[in-house]
Amino acid sequence: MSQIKKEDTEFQTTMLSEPKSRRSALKAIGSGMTVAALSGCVGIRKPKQVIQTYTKESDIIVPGEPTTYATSCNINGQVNGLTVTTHEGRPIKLDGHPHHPNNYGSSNAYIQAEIHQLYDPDRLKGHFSNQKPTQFNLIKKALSGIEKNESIAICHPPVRSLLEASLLKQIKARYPKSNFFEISPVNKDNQTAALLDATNTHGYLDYDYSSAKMVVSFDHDFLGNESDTLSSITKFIKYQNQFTFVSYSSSLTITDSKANAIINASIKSQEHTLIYIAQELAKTFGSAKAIKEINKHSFNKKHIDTKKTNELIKLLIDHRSQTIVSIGEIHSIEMHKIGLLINQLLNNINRSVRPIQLPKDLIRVQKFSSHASVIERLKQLIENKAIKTLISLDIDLSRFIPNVESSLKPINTFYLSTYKNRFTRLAAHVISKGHFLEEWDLLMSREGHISIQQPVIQPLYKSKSTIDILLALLNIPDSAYTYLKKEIRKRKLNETEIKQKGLHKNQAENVSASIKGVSLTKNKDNESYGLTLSVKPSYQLLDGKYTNNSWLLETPDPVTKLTWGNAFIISSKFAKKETLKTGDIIQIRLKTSDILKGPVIILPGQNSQTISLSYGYGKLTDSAFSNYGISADNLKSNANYEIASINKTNEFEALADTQMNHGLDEETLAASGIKSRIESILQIKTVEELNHTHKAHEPHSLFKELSYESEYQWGMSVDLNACIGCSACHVACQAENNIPIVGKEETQKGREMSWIRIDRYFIENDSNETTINYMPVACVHCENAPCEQVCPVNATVHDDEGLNVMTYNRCIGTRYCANNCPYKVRRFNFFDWHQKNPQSVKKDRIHLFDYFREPSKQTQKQFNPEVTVRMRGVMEKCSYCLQRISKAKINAKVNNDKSIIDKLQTACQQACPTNAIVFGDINNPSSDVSTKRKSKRRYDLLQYELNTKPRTIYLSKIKKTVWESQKTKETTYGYH
Amino acid sequence: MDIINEEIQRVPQVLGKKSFKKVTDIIAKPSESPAPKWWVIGLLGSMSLAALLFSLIGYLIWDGVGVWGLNNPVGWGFAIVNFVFWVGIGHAGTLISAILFLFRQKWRTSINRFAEAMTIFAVICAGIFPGIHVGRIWAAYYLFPIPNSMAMWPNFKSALLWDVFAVSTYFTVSLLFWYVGLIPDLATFRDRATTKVKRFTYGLFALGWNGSNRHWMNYEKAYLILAAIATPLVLSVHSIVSFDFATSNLPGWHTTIFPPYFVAGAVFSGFAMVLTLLIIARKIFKLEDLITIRHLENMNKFILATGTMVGYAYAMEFFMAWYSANQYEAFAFINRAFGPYAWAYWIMVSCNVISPQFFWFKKLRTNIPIMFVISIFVNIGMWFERFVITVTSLHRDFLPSSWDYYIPTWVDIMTFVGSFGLFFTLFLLFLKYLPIISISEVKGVMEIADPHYYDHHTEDKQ
Repeated sequence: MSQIKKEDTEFQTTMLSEPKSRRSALKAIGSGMTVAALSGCVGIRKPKQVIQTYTKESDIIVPGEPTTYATSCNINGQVNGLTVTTHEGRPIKLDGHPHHPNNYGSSNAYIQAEIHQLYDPDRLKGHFSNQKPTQFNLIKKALSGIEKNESIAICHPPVRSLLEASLLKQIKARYPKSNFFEISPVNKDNQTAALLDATNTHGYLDYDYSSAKMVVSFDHDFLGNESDTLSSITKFIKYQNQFTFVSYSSSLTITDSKANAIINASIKSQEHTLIYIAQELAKTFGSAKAIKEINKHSFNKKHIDTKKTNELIKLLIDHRSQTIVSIGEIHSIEMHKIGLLINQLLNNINRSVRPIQLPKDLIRVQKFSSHASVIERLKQLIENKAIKTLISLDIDLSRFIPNVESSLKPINTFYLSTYKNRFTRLAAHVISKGHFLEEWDLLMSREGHISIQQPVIQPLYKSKSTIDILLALLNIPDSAYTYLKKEIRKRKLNETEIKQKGLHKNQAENVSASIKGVSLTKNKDNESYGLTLSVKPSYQLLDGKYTNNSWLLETPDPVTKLTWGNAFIISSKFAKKETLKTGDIIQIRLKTSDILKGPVIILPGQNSQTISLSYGYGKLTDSAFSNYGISADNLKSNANYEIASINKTNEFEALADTQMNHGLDEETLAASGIKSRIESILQIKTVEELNHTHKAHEPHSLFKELSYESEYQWGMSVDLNACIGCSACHVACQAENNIPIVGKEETQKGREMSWIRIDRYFIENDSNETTINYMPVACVHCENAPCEQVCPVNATVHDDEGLNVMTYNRCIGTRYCANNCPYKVRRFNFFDWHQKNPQSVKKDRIHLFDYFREPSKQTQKQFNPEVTVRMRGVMEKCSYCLQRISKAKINAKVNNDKSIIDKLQTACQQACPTNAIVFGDINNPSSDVSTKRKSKRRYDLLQYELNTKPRTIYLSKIKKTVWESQKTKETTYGYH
Repeated sequence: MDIINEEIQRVPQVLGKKSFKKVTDIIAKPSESPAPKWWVIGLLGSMSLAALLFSLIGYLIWDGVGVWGLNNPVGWGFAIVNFVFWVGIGHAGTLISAILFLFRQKWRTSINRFAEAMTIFAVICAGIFPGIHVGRIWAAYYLFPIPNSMAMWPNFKSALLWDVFAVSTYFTVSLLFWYVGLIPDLATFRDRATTKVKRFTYGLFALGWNGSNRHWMNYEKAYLILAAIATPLVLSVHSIVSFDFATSNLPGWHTTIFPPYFVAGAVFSGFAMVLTLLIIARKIFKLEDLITIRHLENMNKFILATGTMVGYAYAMEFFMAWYSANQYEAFAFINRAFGPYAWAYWIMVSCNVISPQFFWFKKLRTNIPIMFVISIFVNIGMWFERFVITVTSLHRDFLPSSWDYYIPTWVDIMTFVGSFGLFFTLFLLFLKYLPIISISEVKGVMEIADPHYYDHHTEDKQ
C-alpha cells in the first residue's frame, strides 16, 4: 500500500521559489503573517496581545483546517521524508512523506517525538558570550574575524545536508588549516571500516530480502536501532514469509521478535560460531586465499551450539546465493570482515547482500575514520593546544573527552547548542540551535534521494542553524534560504519537482562495490570468556539526543518495558548466582577501571555471560527531564567491555516498567497462569495449523445485541506477524491525541496514560528458545462492550458506526469501566497531569477552585486542536482517532468522494513502518480491513471467553520450524 | 414438684429483681450525670481522627484520586473496600431490630437500640466513600436522576447506580426506624430533664409524646410497618452491593454466589461489631443485668452460623472455579490463595472461618474476654475479605501484560482510620445523650411486666 502514485499537490512546498504572481505573493504574505501573529501571542486560548487579522485571506490557511507541508529531516544520519500538519501556523504532527523512498509515509518513534522536541520549553533561548547574553551579530563578527591561517576544528554530526557539505568544502578551501571531526556516538563504524577494508569504498551494506531464503544475524538489530531505512524494515516484513530467519542473540532485541529461531549466545560465543561457520564454508567454497585468511582464527567448539550451527550451515549451503548473514555493530571490525567473507563464500555479494557506495556528495570531506579515533585525534589536538578555534555544531564534547575543561581554556570555542549543558558552561560563545522545523536545508539520504527541509514556523527563539554558522564563518551574506536556492540551481535540480513534492528521487542505480578479498588479522585471545557488559544505543534516547524528550522517556523500551531510565539487563541464571532481584542496585567495575552503578532487571532471553546496558541515559543537559538512568557516557555505544567485578549494594530502586516481568523466570504461579493463557491470547500457529483450524464456536448472547446499521462500520486489524514492537504508534498516538506524560513515579505506580500499549510476551518455544513476541493493544471497540454497561452515568456509549466513544464531560470517574474492561485499555487521569508536569508554568489568570498551573506556553501550541485536552478525574482511551474519522466523513460528503474514506488512516496506522495496523470501513467489502478480516490468521482477542465482539481483530503470528529435530516432532502432533 | 406440672422455665430477659424505675434510672444515668473523663478523652480522640478524615478528603478533592494507591488494573481500592466494610457492619442493626422483631425474639430488646445506632453511624461512614472515590466529585450528582438541561440521564443498567439507590434507601429507612423507636424514650428523657435546654431538645424530638393509649397504638403500628419495610432491605442492600462485583465480567467478581455470601458476611461482620461495642458499653455502664450473658451468647451463635456460611462460600468459590473449567476463573482463585496477596487471603480465612469455630463450645461462647477477641478478629477478617475480593481480582485479570500490584498510600490508610474517628464520634455522642437501651421495650419484657407476675409471686408465698 505504501506508495501513492498520484502527484499529490497537498504536499507542495510554499515560499520556495520567488513569488511569481500577485496571488502567490499574497499567499506568502498572508501565511507569513499568521505565523508572525501566532508566534507573537502568548496563549492560544486567551491571547493577551493584539491579533492581526487577515486583510486578505490566504488560500492555504483556513482557520480550523490543517495544512500539510512536505519537509524532511536527518536523525543521526538517517534521512526521512516528512509531512508536517500545521494548524494556523503551528506544526502539531509529523508523519512520513508518502513519496519519499526512505520511508514511504511511515515513521518511527524519533520522528513522532520530534514535534515535542520543537516545543521543548527547556531549549536554549538566546546566545551567550562568556556566559553573558549577547546578540548573534556579535558572535557573527567573532566568527568572521577568524584568521585564514588559524587552525580550526569543526565538530559536526554525520553530514546529510548538501548545503553543509558544500559549505564545509568551501571552509576547507578558505581555511586550509581547518579540520573536520564527524562525531556520532551511535554509528556503524565497524561495518563501514570492514567494508572499506574489503572493497576500498566508503559505503554500507544493503540487504535484499526479496530474494533471500535464509537470514542469519549475529546480534544485529536491523529492524531496530541498526535499521538502514524505514523502508528496509517494511521490505523485511513484506518478504519475511519467504525466508527463514535465525538470530544469534546475547540480549533480545526487537529484531529477535521476528526470528524463527533464536540461539542464545554471548558475544564471544558468536565470534567462535562465526569463525566456525566461515571455516566450514571455506572448506567447500573457499579459495586458497580465503582458507588461509580464515585459518588465522581458531575456534573452540565448547562455545558453539554445534548441533544447531551445523544444521544452519547445511541450510545456508542449500540456499547458497540466496542468504544473508548480517553482523551487528556490537561485533568488532574483524567479525564484520568474517561476515563479509561468509557472504562471499555463500555467493551472496551483489545478490542478496549488496555493498553500496555512499553518494559522492556525502563522502566526508576528510577520509573515513571511526568515532573512537576521531575523538582520540581531537583530544590530542586539544591537549596539545594545536587548535585555536573550536566550532562545535550541536556536539557536547565534554561527553566524549573527559576533563576537557582545563585544556579548553585557551581555545576560542563556538558552540551551537540546543540545551544548556556542561559544554555551554565551557564554551566562549554559545549559539542557540534551532529545530529542523524552523530551518531551511537540503538533505540527501544515503541512498542519494534529495529532499528539502523547509521551516514551517518562525523560530520560536532567536535560534540559528548549522548553515547560518557556516555561512557566517565563510562571511557569505546570504541567508540559508538564498543559499539553498543557489544550491538547487547549481545542482540543476528540477525546481518544480522539489517545489511540489519537496523531493528529488535518485533514479540512478546506486553504485555497488565488489569485494576484492577479506584480509584478517590473527586473533589474540579468543579464550578469555568472562562476563561482558554490552552497551547498545537506546530505543528511546538514541545517543542521548532525546535526553529531555518526556514522550520518549515515557515510551517503554520495547524489550525491557522500562520507562524513565535504563537498567543492567541480566539473565535469571546470573541473578540466581548473585542473588539479585529486579531493582537491586549493583556496582560494576570494568577492566578499563570504569565504574558504573545502577539497578538490574532480570530478563528472559538474556545471555548469562552478558550484561546489557543502553547508551544515552544520565544527566546530559540542564533541563527538566535529563537526569534518568545509568550514564554510560564514559563508554562507547555498541561496544563490549570485560567486567572485572560486580558488587551488590544494599540499595534498591523501584523500576518504572509498564509491564511487570512476572512469569518465565520470576514467579512460578504467575508463570503458569501466563503459560496456560498465552496460547489463546497470542495464537501463534504454523501455516499447517492455520489451514487445519476449525472455526471456533460463536458464543451467543442472552441479551438483545446492538445492531449496527449505519453506513460506515469502523474496524481495525493488527497483524502480529508484521508488528516489530518499535513503538512508533505509541508516540504517534501521543502526539495526535494530546496524551500527557505522567513521570517516573507515576509510571512506576502503573498510571501511564498511553492509549496504545505494546504488550511483550516472552515465550519458550518448542526448541527451548526464549522468544519475544509483541502485541499492540488499544481499545478494541467491542460491539458488546463491557465498559458501557457498568458506567452509571452513560459516559461511555456506542455510536451507530461501532465506535465505543467516551463523553469526557459526562464522566465522573468511577473507574468501573476500567475495572470491567478485560483488555485493560482504559486510562484514568488520576491527577491533572498537565499541572503535575515539571515543565508546567504558573497560570496567567488564577481562578478560585481552579488549579494554579498550566502546560508551558510552548506545549500548549503543540496540542492538537481537534482533540480535547482531558482534565483530571476522567477516563480516556483510544477513540480510533475519531477526529480523523469525522473529518474524512465530512470531506467525503462535501466532495461526494468515497475514496476519502478509503484513504482514512488512524495515527498509529500512519506511523507504522510495517503496515501492521490497518483501519477502515468493514462494511466496504473491498477495504483493506475487510480483506484482513477474512484472513485465516484472524482471531478475536478474548471473544471466545467473553463474547465482546471486538472491532479490532488480530492476525496471528506465524510459527516456522527451523530445526530438524523439531520438524519430526511436528508430524506426530495432532490437530483437532 | 410434680413432673407433669414442670414447665420449661424461660430465662429472664432482665436479671435481678428490678422495678421499672430502676431500669429507667440505669439507662438514663449517663445522660443525667456529668461527662466522665474517659468519655471526654475518647470524644476528643475520635473527633481529631474525624477531622483527619475530613482534611484528607479535602486533600483528595484538591489534588485528585491519585493521592491514593490506585493504578491501572486496580481501579478500586481502599475506598470501595471501606465502603463495603461499613455497609456490611450496618446490617446487624437492621437484622436485630427488624427481623428479630418480626420473629418476636424478645431478647433483642436490650440490644436493638445499640445495634441500630451502630447501623446508622456505619452507613454514614460507608456513604462517604462512594461519594469521594469518584474522579470528579463536583459532578457526582450526575448519578441521580435529576431532570436537567444537559440531556443526561443515568444508566440504569449499571450496578453502581443501583447501589446509590440501595444505600440511600437503606439509610433513610434505618434512620426512620431508629427514630420512631426512640420517641417514647425521648419523652422519658424529656420528662426527667433538669434543664430547660434538655427539656426543649428532647421535647422537640419526642414529638409531643404523652404515652396515651392512642399514641402507643399508632407507635406500635408504625414500628411494625417500618420493621416490615426494613426487613427486605437487610437482604437487598448487600445483595446490590455485591452486584457491583457480580455483574462485572472480572474473574473473581463474576460469581452468582455473591448476593447470599455478601449478606451472610454482612450480618457476620455486623454482629461482630455490635459485640465488640456492646461488651465495652455493658461493662462501663454496668448494664450486665440488662444485657445478659444470654444476649451475648445468642449473638455468638449468629456469628458462628454466619461465619460458617461465609466459610462455605469461600470453599464454594474455589469449587466453582475448578468445576467451571474456566482457566481465568481458576487462576483468579489460585492467585488469591497463593499469589502476591496470599497474606491478605490467609488473614481473611483464619479470622473469618477459623476463629468463629471456637463458639461451638459453650464455655468459650459465654466467656467475655474470648468473645471480645474473636469479635475483633472477625472485624479484621471481614475487612480483609473485601480487600481480597476487590484487589486480588483486579490486579491480575485476563491479559498478563496489565498485571500490576496495588500498594495503598498513607492517605488510603489514614482515611480508613479517620472513618473510625467519625464512627466513634457519633457513637460516643449517642452513648452520652440518648438512651442506649430501649427503655420502653425492655420494660415490656421484664418479669414484672407480665400481667400474671404478681399471681406467681402470691402463689409462691402460699
